[in-house]
Amino acid sequence: MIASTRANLITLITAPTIWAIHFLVCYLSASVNCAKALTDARVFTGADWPDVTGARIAIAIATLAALAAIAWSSRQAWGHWADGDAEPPYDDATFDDRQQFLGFATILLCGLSFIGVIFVALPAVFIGDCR
Amino acid sequence: MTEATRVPSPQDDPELRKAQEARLEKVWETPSGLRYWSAVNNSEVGLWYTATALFFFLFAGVLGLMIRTQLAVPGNDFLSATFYNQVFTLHGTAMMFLFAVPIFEAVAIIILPEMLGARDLPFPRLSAFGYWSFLLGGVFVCGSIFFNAAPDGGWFMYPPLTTDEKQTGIGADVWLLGLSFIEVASIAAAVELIVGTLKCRPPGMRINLMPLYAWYVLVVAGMILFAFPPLIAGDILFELERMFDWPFFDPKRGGDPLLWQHLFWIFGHPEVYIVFLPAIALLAMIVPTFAQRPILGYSWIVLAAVGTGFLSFGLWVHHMFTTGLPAISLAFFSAASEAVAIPTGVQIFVFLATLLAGRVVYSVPMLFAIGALGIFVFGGLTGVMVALAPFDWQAHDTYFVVAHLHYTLVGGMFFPLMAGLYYFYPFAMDRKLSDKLGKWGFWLMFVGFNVTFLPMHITGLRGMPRRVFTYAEGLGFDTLNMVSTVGAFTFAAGVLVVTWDVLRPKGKEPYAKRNPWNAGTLEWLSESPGKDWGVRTVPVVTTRYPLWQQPNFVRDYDEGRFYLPDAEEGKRETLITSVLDARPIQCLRVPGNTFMTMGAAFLTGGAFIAATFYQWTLTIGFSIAALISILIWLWRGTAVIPEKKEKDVGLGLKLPLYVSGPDSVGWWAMFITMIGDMSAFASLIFGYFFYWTIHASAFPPAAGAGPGQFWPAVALVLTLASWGAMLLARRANAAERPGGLRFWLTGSAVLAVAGGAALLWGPHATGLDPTSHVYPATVWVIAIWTAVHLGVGVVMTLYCLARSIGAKLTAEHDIDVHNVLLYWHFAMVTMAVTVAVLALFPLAVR
Repeated sequence: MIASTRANLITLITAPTIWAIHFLVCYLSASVNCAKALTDARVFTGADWPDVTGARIAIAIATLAALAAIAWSSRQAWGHWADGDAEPPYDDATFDDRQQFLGFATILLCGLSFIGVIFVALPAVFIGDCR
Repeated sequence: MTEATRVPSPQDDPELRKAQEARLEKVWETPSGLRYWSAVNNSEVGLWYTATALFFFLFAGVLGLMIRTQLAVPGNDFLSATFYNQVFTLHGTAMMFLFAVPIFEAVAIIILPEMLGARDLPFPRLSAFGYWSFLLGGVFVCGSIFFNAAPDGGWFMYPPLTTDEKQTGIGADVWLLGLSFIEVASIAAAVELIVGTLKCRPPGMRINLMPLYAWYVLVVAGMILFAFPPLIAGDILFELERMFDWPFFDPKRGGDPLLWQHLFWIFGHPEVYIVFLPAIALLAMIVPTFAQRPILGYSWIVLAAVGTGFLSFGLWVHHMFTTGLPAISLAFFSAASEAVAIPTGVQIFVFLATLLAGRVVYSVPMLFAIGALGIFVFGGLTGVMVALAPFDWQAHDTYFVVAHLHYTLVGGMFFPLMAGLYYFYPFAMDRKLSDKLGKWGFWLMFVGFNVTFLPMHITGLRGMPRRVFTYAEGLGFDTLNMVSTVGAFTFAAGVLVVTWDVLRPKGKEPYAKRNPWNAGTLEWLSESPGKDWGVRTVPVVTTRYPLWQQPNFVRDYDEGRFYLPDAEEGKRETLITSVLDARPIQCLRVPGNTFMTMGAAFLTGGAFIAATFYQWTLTIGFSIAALISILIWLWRGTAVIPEKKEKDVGLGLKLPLYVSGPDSVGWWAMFITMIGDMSAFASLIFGYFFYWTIHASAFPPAAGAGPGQFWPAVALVLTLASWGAMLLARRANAAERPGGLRFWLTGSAVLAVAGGAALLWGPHATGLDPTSHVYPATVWVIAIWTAVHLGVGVVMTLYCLARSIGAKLTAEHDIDVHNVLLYWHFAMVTMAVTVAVLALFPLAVR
């Protein structure tokens, strides 16, 4: 369903689903990292804030993987979009119109998801500890 | 569709057409007298649903006016502090749960079927059940204020305030149980609407031709499946704490009130978009009509709807910026909150572009639409401000946030809804609303709204906290509050004008002409005055705006030259088509009017209400009665074996009347319901790991604590066996061996009972006391959840057994066994995850 020569509703939502998974990985890795480091209530002792290096590495890997997966999805969608005789706005009752419409909408969603993944990864670039 | 007119057709005979119309009218006739309330057809249920939701809006609006009256002057004593708490809590609760979300379902139930050229949605009785549940739950929650027993902890019910029974009375239980009941109804509506959009489109309406409204419905209903179950899971934890002292939110015994905030807002933030997107969807239908051209950027709207649907799930912590989470966690949500502005903005630009490219016809719906865009953009901009954590730290819990949320909700939901009201009123009620009253209503509302809420930004920045029942003189709040109050009453005057316009008797006015706005989509095929049959014939659609773009379309439609022009057998029927290409695959017989759904809803509601008052015997009695009534409903009304295999649906096409497995709508409904069920389960599992992260060593405790590994392992093996027996049962049925079917069904039920018992025996045998600490409480709640699912599975399995014995489940007619097996797949996954978490995870972290 995900890898398919025919565009469908699953290929349409592949990229935003990747965004959602990436988002969860970022949030969960950072919050587990910090929650585990802070359970001894360091906040009241004046000691340094624990760092989030472990989570940052995980987020970096997840971000690269997510961007690669979205790029793959958009490449597949490009194939759906480019291969056909239909004209925008793809409002005829033909297979090509349907296929190219779904391909184009998927590319748009890939773009949004790509930006979204970068947005969500940025905090890990700038913030290095659990303060 | 000229093709149909060229070929000689039986529809050329006017006598035949008249006879067909008479038959259709008889089959779809709305019952009269008391039996009117037994109707399940979408036009009646949708109308009741809309009227009830609007009534709750007016009720909650009066509460809003009471708030504004109390705050008009400093030191006011119009309301007492405690009653004020009830008033603002119920204002928010009723507006969100009894108006904003239900009105989406209500409007969709009315217009979606005809927009898709369908006679009804696939499960009309489920819609009716949802409506009666909503009515009962809503009256129960709202009525509590007349007994001074309304919830008073704010519409998001934060513990520990609300778990403290000295501070909050029965109101919290009313909120939790009343709303849980309504949430179940919302999920039912979501299932109905998803299946309706995917499977009930007219032949030819490929996914690229679907009306944009249907795209939004699909996205929003999908969001409900992932957003509402976490709240239901939260409600379960909350009620267990209030009723049985299980310490989920009690820090003294290892609990944490923050878990509630997470579960509430995982629901609560997507909910904002769940109410926003359907209202924007109305604009997506209204704007092209009044621009008199197709929407510009159809694909971009799809991007916006789907993109917003996803991104809105990454925003929930922006309601929790001041809870002391690490900055890096906040920043993820801040980033996602900024990102969601992209798809939201895209929709606005698409609308503006469409208006610029068309020749705009000015009218009352357009007035509301333009007002909506203005107000919403303003609310969106303050949204971008509060999405920045440092700004939010200043504005949090002040009137700035009150102003922001009213700008987004009124601009993003209420004004578009008013546009929709004026636009669709002739469709639903056969007559137009008054242009003059509409303009008065609009300007009073628009001015009143801005006068109320614009000053609140400043009130908030000056430091007035939300939810205070009064304030001292001379803090800089006095004039601003008085202005807001004057504005609120102006706004209310506008609402009154529109309410009068809707309710005033119109019997003497002429009917609106057919398709009064010259729109292009299928719902405007409806005659004026409307017919009970929904659509005369299920049309063949080849364009996005068939009324504009398909020649002779209306004539062919009126002459019944498409599918299902008749009801020869006297049954209610509609077409089921394939998901992507809308190829016809089945002629679905939809069930007719009944009081059973009302009875089932009231009995189910009775169980919830009795539980609110801790009347356990009554609760159990109602639950059993509700179960029996639902079983009778299913037995008599679902998977009915038709009198023949196939039916000629017109245009030379023969379609089966009975299909099972993934082809059937019932299978889809089960699948979609179970997705929602899994997201509730995932929320409980999230709770388990949440407690693990906040505890250094007490969760899970050191070696030796329950539930151990032995009993969970036994439960897993028994459940696997039960699942395997179910697979064999279906296989036996397919091989026409009813004896084998019944043997394996019985075996599956017995094994499942044993599996559930073994799962519960684990924590019991190891002495886990759920009131002692959050760990045993969490283990118990997950084990009980899974055991209950096995119990439900057993009921379904025994139901199949009875159907087989009653000759309603056979090798050829096997809907039931397919759907129950699908349920078992999910139950099996639930059990496997339960055992992995409860039995294996403690080993892994030790």
